[in-house]
Amino acid sequence: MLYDKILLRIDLNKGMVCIITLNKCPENTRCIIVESDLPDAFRSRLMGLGWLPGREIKVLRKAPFGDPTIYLVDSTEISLREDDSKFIKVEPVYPAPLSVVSEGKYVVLRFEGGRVFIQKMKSLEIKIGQEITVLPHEEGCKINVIADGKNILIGYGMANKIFVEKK
Amino acid sequence: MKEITIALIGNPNVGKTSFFNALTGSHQYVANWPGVTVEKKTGSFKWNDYNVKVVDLPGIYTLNARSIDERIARDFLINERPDLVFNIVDGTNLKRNLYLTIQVIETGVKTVLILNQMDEVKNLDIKIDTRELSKRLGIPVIETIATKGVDIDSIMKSALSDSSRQIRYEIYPKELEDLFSSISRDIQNHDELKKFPPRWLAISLIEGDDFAKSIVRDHFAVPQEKDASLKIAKARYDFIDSVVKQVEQRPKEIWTITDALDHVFTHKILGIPIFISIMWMIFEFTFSISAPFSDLLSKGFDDLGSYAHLIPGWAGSLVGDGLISGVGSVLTFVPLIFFLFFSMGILEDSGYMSRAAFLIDRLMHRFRLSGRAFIPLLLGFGCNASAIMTTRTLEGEKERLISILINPFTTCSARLPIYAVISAAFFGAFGGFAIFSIYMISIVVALSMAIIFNFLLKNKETTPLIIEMPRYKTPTAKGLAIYTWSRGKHFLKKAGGIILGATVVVWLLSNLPFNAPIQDSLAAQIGKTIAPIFKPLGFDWHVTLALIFGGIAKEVTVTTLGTFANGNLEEFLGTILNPVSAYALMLFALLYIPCVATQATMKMETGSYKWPVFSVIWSLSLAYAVAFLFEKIAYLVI
Repeated sequence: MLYDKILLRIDLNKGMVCIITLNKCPENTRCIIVESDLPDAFRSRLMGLGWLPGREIKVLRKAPFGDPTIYLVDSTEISLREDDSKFIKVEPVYPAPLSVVSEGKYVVLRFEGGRVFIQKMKSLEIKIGQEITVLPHEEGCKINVIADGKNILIGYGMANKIFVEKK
Repeated sequence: MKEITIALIGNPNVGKTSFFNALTGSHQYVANWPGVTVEKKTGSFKWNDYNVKVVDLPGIYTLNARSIDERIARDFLINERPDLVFNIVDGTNLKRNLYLTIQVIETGVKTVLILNQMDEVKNLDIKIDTRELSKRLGIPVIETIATKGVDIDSIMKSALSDSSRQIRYEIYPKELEDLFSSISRDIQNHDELKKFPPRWLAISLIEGDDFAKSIVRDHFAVPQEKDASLKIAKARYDFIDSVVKQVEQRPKEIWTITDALDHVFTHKILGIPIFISIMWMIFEFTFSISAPFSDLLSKGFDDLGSYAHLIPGWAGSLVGDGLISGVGSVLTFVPLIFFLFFSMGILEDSGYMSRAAFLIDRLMHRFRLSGRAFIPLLLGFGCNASAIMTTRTLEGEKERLISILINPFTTCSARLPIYAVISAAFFGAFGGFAIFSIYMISIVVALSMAIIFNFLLKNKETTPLIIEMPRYKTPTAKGLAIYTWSRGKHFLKKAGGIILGATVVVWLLSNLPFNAPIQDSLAAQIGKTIAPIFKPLGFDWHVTLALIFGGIAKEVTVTTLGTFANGNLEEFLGTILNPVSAYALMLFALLYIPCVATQATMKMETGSYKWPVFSVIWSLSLAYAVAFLFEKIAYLVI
């Protein structure tokens, strides 16, 4: 199940890298384009807009109801539908949201959320600068992490707002 | 006098049309959203002893064309070989724009780079070394702010100065270059291919471009390279990166006004309520502000009509009852229409339209339409005929056909006078709400028809959607004036032409045979013959005849009733309709047959008579069914 959508790849230089499809990236994520399986016509138009393997995309905003999404490449903002963005494979750049990282040790860098969210984090005793270990989990489910020796289950939506860096 | 042709080419929404206006002194409409120019527009100006023809091409991102508007631009460049190409580039977006520039230079036409929107560049604190850019690209670079006018003299001087430094810059890796030159040699061995630029043709062939393949056909075999198109694109971007790094200085990302506005307008929870309130505000604004003007005009025409009756005999009747009362009943709504376009102009020029498309895309998707199809639908509220032309930006043939067929169901502004006159006569204070409800029904019907046509035509493809988000701009008075006038003027033209003509015909029909009472006139006879068909809908022969004439242009429905009314249209309507049948008439007028101009555009865009005929039959039966059901249900309820 896990390997269906989240492909894992061993890269000798970088260690474990997580490759996901663009539609799975939450807001505020930065990622590098790996490849796209889009039809030729559409791919060449995106190329004209600077969407090439190796280039960085920033996920800016999702529309109400989660689709489409506005992306930023170079200095151009464009909106793409999930139907199209799911054909584009990307590699998140750290700091990345907790929801897209694979298992391993990470450091919490920042929270991208409102007051209520930060309150929630406080009650879960997750702090900025804290070291956490992500346990294996299935995609789209709650994420099991170990922080300060405690086992915490973090919901998928919340994990979208916790930005972490590889330890 | 020397004749030269200049083509304007560039990405969508970089200010080509503004530049075109500045060059030729014309007043083409410019919008702050992509895809407004879907056909090439030509203009001309004189400079020294040159007669310069300027062609404004649709905005494109690449020369690898797929949709019709892209093909128009590409074909012009390759087949017509203009003497000079002005590549308009958005100075704030150098990196992305230069991709097309490189492709244009590869076609071998003499290219001048017009670095536009320099005012925005200054605002964003970006610094561009123009001289270095010109040196790296080997073409002249000219800075402009097209919206504030351009210095034609200096542009033409540097464009025509023959200091074309033919620098060979290395873009592609050696293995690709070798491939290009070997194919170029093959090309030059064939006489039929000599008229095409060899380097462009060679590169396009390796890229796998269909158009290039169709040119070469089976003259020779093209060596296949795996992932060549990707390698070529990458090489171009690497080159662009190195150029931009050298010539451009950009401040670190800052929180701009656009970011702040987007935070509110595209907000997950607030975005849609804001969108709906803006639409409602536009309605309120348009109706309340135009009402006093309309009243004034209406009173003016009444007085004019009574003066006209002082002319003795049939001439007085023709002028008073026919022309003034008939055409006047439409002209009364000119302020309404102009204010509606004025508000739409604010939305378009400010850049909000793209955000609206972004917000409601999810909804469009549910109705199996791509977000691109949203643009023609929205323009349909202005005029269906011109909106149908903008379906050219759609790639899928079936999707395009569906967009064309559903467009007449969006209620164009020519139908507004019909609703306005009926609402004023029957719904009083609820008039604005009655009209708003018709607009809502119009949207629901158009979208439902999209589902039905998708099913009937077995359409599976939807065009992938890219909406570019332009920066927000404060609409300028000049821009709004051009917009309102260019959209609204055809009403005045129509009023003076086709509507005037139709009114005279209606007057003649209702006054022949001479001196007969109107009940025995030719018009009455025609109307009464057909009226039984509309009897179940509660329309008498006056309404029937008005609807038939309304097929010429929708406003004629009102002028015809105006001719019958002898001056007091509201009172007259009260005698032939009741509130229920009046609303049914509004529904019928919304849905029944596209006007003659729209039918002609349908024929032109689909290339066959089949579709306009289908559209007429389909919408007529739909209108009949809806109006009939509405009345049956309404009478049951009341």
